[in-house]
Amino acid sequence: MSSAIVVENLHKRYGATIALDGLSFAVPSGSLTGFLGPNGAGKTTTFRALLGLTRPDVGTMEVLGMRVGPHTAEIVKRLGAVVEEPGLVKGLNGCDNMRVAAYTLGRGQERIDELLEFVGLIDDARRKIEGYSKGMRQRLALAAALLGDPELLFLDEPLDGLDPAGQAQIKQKLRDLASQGKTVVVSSHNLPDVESLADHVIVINRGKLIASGTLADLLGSGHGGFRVVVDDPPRAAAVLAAAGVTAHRQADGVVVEAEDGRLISRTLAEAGLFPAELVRQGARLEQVFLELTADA
Amino acid sequence: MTGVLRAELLKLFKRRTYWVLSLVLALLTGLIAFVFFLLPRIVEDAQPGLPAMEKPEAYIFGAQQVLGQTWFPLILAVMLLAGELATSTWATALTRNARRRQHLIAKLVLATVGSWLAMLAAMTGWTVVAYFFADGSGFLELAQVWDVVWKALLIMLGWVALGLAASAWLRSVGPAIGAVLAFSFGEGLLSLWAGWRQVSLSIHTTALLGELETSGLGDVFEESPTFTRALAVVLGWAVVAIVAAWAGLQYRDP
Repeated sequence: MSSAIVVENLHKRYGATIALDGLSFAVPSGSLTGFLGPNGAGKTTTFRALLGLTRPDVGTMEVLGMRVGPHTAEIVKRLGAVVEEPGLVKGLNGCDNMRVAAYTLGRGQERIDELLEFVGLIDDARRKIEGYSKGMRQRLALAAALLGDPELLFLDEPLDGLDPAGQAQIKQKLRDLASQGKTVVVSSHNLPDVESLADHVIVINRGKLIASGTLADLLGSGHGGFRVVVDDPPRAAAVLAAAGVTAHRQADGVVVEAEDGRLISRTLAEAGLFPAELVRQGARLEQVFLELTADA
Repeated sequence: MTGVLRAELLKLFKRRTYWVLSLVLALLTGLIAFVFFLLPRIVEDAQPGLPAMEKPEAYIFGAQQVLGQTWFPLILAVMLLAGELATSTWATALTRNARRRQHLIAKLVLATVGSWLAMLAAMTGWTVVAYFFADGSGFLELAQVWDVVWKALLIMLGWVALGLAASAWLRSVGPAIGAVLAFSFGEGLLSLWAGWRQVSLSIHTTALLGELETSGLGDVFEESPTFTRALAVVLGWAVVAIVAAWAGLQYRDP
C-alpha cells in the first residue's frame, strides 16, 4: 500500500524543550489513521510541520508524494485541515465563514450549502458563530476543510465537544470519506473514539514513535486473556494457578491470562468447576496506549 | 489573489469593528469641527490661541486634522492581522491555497482602502460643516481636491503598514495596539528633536497636504519639508514597514 504521508527523522526544538526527537512514521493512503499521544507528545507540532506551519530543525516529510517545504504550496491545495481550534472568523455567520474559506481556497461557493447540510448546520448558517456551541464550531470547521474536496484531511480533535449523536454522524462521515479513497488523519485524546473510528494507529510520546500499525495489530499486542464466570472464584483462581495459569480474582469470576480457552475450561472441569461464561477479552486501545506510554 | 482579497473584503465590511471605528472617527471629527466652528459662535472667547478658520484653508486644515487620526488605520490593521495571528484563524488560512505574502498584501490593500474610505467620509463631513460655518469664501480647486484624495491613500498606506508590522512581530491584539499607539504618540513627540524631524512620519504626512503653518505647526518648525521629501519619507516608512511585516510573518511563525 502506498503512503500518503512519510515522515523521517523529524527533530524540532523550542528553546530547551524538545518537541520532536527523531520521529518517523508513515500513513497509508486511503486509511483512517488515529494519531495518538499524551499531552506534550508532539502531535500538534507534527501536524503543524506537515502543514508547513512550522519548520522542523532536521528531518524530511513527504505528503502526497511531495516534499513539505519546497512543495508546500502544491500540497495544501490537495488537503483540508482543522488545526488546534476550528480557526473560524469571529463576527461572521456560518455561511460567511464558509465563503471566506471558499474564497481563500480559490473555489466557488457552489458546495457551501451541500457541506453545511452534510455537517447538519444548514439551519444555523445565518447565525453568527459567537452563538454556536463548541460542537457546532467543530462541524463548521470540518465543512470548511472539506470545501476543496481534499485527498487528505488533518483533523485535530474533530469529535471534541460533540454530543453522542453528532459524534456518530461525524464518525460516519469520516468513514465515508475514507471509503472514497481519501486519507483521514485524526488526532485525539479520546481513545474509545479512535478505537471505534480508525483502522490505522500511530502512537507517539516525547516526540518519538512508540507504535504504528493497523488497529488490529496494535490491539493484538495487548494481553486480553479471558474473563471466566464461575460459582467459586477463589477456588477457580487457585486451581488455575496450580496448573501454571495466571488468574486474577474478580467479584463474579476470574480474569485469566491464557491464549487457549480450552486449557482453562478443561482445567476447571477436572476440578469440578464448570464456567457459566468464558469470554475472550480483547485488549482495549486505552489499555494498550497506557502500556505503551507508561514511562511518560 | 482575487479570492484572498474577496475574503478580506468580507471580513472587513461584514464585521462590526470597521463600522465602530468609523463611528468613533466621525464623532471625533464632529467634535473638532464643533470646537473650531460652532463653539466660538456659542461662547465668546472659546478658542483663544487657535488659528481662525477661513475658507478655503479651512478645508485643508480639516483634511489634516482627519488624516492626523492615525489611530484609525493603525487599529484597523492590527485588528485584521493580529486578531487572526492570536487565534488559529491564521494557521487555518495558511492550510488553504494562499501563502503568507498573499494574505499580507490582501490585508494591506483592504485596510488601506477601508481606512481611506472612512477618512474621505470624515473629510466630506468636515467640508460640509466648514462650508456653512467657516468665515470667508471660496472652495478648493479640483486639482487640490484630487491632491488630498490620493495623498490620503498614501498616508493610510504608511500607517496601515506600521500596524501590520507591529502585528506580525507581536502577534497579539492588545500589545500590538499599545505598541502602535505608543509609536504614533512617541514619534510625534520626537519631532521636537531636529534629527528625528528629518524622518518623522507624522510631520511628513502633514506636510504632504500643505504648509505646516496651515496645520498650526508652523510656529514650532522653522520650515516645511518639500513635497518631494515628504513623499519620499512617507513612502519610505511604508516600504520599511511592509518589509518588517513580511519578515515578522516569515520568521515569527513558531
